[in-house]
Amino acid sequence: MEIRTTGDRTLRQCRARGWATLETGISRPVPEVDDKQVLLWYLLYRSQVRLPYQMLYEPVARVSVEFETGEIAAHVLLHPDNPPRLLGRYPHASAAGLSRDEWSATWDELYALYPRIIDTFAAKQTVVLSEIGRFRTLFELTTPPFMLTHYHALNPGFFVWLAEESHLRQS
Amino acid sequence: MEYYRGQEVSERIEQAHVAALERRAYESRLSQSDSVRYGAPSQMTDTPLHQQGLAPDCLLQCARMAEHRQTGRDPGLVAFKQPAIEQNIYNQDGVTDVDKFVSVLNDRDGVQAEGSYAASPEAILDSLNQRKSVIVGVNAYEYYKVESNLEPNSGGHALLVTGAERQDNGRWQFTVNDPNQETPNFPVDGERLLPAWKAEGNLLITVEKRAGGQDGNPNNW
Repeated sequence: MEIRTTGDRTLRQCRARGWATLETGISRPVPEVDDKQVLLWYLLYRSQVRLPYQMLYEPVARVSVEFETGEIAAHVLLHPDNPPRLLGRYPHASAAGLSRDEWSATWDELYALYPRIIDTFAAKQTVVLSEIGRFRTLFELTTPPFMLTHYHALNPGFFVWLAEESHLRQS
Repeated sequence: MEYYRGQEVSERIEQAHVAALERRAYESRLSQSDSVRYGAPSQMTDTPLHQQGLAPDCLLQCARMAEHRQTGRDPGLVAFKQPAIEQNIYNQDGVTDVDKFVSVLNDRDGVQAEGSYAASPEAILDSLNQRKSVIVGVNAYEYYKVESNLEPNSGGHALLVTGAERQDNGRWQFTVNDPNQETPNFPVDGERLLPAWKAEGNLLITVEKRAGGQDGNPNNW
């Protein structure tokens, strides 16, 4: 399943269920293997453009979808009693320094790497792909520092695996 | 080198990036300004602009602009926010149900509204020529990517279209009141607006004065 469209589709499903507003954005996914089934976990958060920036707020929910079908598997509200805090602005410095073409190519490459990374993480492929280190670099380049803890909370095991595999490849 | 709480810090690199980012945004706007066209006088370029600030109220402000133009009276934001809250379609992140929000517009005395998806740019033009106010939903990343390095899947945004024209070469030119910008009738070419609109399902809400109501066009007062 194509990861970019999975995000769009998931966001549309969340809107249809009243979980997301017009100005709610959706993160890129973090995979989890649950009894051999691959789930993709997303964050929902207010994402409001204030040119030349985009203001990102504390996530309000986590949503998981089945990787095979794209169907929603779970929806978890976060801090339902507190208004979400403004976390920071996007793009952060390293992302702002790229040209428009470089930025577009960065996301295209990240999305293209996703399916192989997910398959490798789910042990559907036995060979450690050379792209793991590249995926980690691109993920960190496109993620503002203030959002990293929220991504890690989706599935800490994925990021441990990613760091270990990247380290193995370098050594 | 500067010091903060006893530690050396340098913002030189970030400042350079930010300067480049802001320059790109300004250059993008200047290039748009070269081809500014305000649409036909009978269209809705006399619509007052209401900005949203930091609140997630782009759709509410577009509805406010539409009613202000159609009736000549500013209904204020609360005229839309309060009933949306009461109907449980507004939370701290904005409007949760666009379709039901159309019914909030229809509960207003002076205007009537109609929502649709899969509309065409001709529908925008026709509506404006019929003196209707036009609200469109756009994908925020697609719409703003010429100005800044945003995240894909950034959610949606609402704009009020104030002018539309199909040029001789077949290309579309629009003007919009964007609640995110302080300039009314901001010129946007079709190559920018139409893909962003398509990515949001070609959401179109038209608003017109209710039969027997006062025309909000200042020229007709």
